Amino acid sequence: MADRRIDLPQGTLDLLILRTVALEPLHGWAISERIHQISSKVLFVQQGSLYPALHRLERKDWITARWGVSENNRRAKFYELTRLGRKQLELQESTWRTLAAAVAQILEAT
Amino acid sequence: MLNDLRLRLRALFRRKAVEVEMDEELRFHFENQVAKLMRSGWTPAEAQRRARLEFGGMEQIKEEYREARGVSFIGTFVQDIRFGLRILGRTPVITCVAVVSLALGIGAHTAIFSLIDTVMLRLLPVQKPEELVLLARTHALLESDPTPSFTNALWEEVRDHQDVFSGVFSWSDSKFDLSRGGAVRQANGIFTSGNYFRTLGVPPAAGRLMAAADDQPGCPGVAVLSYGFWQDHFGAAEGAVGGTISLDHHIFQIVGVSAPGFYGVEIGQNFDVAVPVCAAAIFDGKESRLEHRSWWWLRIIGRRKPAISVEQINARLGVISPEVFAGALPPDWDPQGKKDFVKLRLVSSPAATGTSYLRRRFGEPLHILMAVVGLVLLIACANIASLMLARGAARNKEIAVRKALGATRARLIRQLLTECILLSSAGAVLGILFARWGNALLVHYISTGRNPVFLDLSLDGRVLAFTASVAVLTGTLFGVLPALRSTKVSLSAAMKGQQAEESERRVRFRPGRCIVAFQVALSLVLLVTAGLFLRSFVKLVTLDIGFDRNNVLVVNANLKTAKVPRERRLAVYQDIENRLRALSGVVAAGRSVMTPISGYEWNDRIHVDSPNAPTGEASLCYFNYVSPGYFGTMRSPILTGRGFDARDTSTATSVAPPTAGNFFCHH
Repeated sequence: MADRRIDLPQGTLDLLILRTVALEPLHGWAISERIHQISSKVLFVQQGSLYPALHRLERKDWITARWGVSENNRRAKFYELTRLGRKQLELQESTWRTLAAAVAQILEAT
Repeated sequence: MLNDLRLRLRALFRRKAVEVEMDEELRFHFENQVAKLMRSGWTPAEAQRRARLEFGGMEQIKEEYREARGVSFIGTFVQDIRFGLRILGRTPVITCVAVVSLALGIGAHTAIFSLIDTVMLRLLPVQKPEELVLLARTHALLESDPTPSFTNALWEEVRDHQDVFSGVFSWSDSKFDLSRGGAVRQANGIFTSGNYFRTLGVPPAAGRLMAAADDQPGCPGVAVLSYGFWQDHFGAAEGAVGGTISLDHHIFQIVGVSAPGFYGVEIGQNFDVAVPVCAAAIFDGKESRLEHRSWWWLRIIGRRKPAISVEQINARLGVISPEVFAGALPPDWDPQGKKDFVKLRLVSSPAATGTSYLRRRFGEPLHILMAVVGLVLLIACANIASLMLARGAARNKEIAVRKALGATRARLIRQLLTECILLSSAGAVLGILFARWGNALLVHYISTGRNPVFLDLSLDGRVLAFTASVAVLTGTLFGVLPALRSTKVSLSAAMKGQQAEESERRVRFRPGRCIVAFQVALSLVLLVTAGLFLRSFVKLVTLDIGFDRNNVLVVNANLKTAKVPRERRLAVYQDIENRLRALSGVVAAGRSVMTPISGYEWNDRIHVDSPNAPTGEASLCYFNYVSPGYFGTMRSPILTGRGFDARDTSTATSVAPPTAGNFFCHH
């Protein structure tokens, strides 16, 4: 595992999870794999943070969980975005973009 | 929000299902990870190992997952209790010792607190007790404590002139003989003015209560029973109402029964029978205390109108005082006495908790006892803390293993504290039992044969809350230090086993020493206190009270209520004394009007024809009527002269035997 791993900044995990499940319902393993792949193997979500985070989001009613059958025919818990979650995603996304742009600006200026 | 609640409830009540799901979900993830690693070329065994490494501690993740579920607090609390019970059950001897010593400490605390609560804190079980005020009289010039007693004439004046109370009543304690002949059967009675029950807002349990119409001059006399008395003596029979009861050989008609739980406004006594104030004439005959203007036998309580404060009441009472006292002037007093009398003023004080002589007499001792018992409880805490420390050391390994499996330190401390609070709660439950006995003992101790103390010591919310907080407090107190101590395990040291424990021991000793020092200090304080108490006790026991108190029995005889004509009473008393003396086992017999140290006394000023005769307060002497056998029976030494004998008959000159001192009435 020679990937260049970066620890996730505080608070971004929620955003990443919401973004990942926005397209289709996914189970926990798929969420972590998707994040890993899409980030070109830079971001790696520890299981120890993933599942508590999933549960936290579920309690906030941003995602819901439901048992389904996985691609390899196993029972798995799928998470999907709720209406409230979608709103939250938009909000967090725009916040993040503003922040990222601002940080980038500062980095380029100096 | 709703979702949150639903999930929490599900996690709480369907714990097992939720755990299984969590397990399944995590295993699914793990297996997928293994499969992925195998696809990238690892052997199954190696893939498993790598996946496990990546995962970190499976149990740790579960624990964090549980925390995120949010019910972990209640969930783990239940879990902690279960585990705690198991652990405590594993060391039954230590557990029993701890629980019993805690029970003694907490029980004593609860017993004394429930006495304090009953005597001092509890509100009267009547309507809006906070509106009640007790009236007293005070002298405008003399700085003396207000005295809460009144004559009947004063009561009538107050009743007719006051305008600050929505209701006002008077009452007086008394004892009645219930028997219709033969041995005396005493009952606690109260004289009440007509609106006593109505002003207090106490409803009847059967029949009706006293009304203003029952309390008129020349009344025939009706009686209201207390609920307890009605149950004990009449078997709660409906037929009792309308029947009669004999009080001091006078027949009263029972009109009703007061509500259960109401024992009167004097805490420490309960009434059995209430009769109207006007009925005093029935007992007293011609010269009744209704007419007597210096017989201070009534007490007065008023219910203030809601809008009026106690200060306003006192101001208003001050205004009507001259009129009230002038209207009740005792005609037979000397001019100076009369002048002082009209200068008296009425004052009021809150009476929400009723009145009680117990407060004055036992308030301070109870608080001292409370403090002493508190010290004992602290020592018990220290004892158990050292037990816990020792047990913590023995559980070193267990704690290390749990820590290695992912338990956080806070979680372990919570577990250990839960065990301690379990212990102290068990102690508290047992302690409440001890408290019941302790209370009975204390009440027995402050009761005397003539004045049995009655207290409604039922456990109320305040006492239970007190006991519960004492339990939690003690549990925390003896639990915190050992818990902090024993969870401070270095994992690597614990894994190395024996040696690591050896090296830890040196450090572990410090809190143990602190506890011991603390215990010694407290014990010293207690020892000194106990020594002082013992000293006072020895002094009291050996105090020369002027007579030999051993083997003396008191027999009360009331010939007045037995309706023996006045002129025959002396002969009958003499006859009783002679017969008592003739009983086998009786060495001596004598009689007196006043029983020594009974609390009753009779004093008057005496005048001596001598140039340096004492005057004023110094001439106040204590009197007693005694028979010739009295001094011999009491073994009171006669210092000079002689005692009474058969020569001193009703026709002979009065003799006063000097008892002690230079002036014969001192003492």
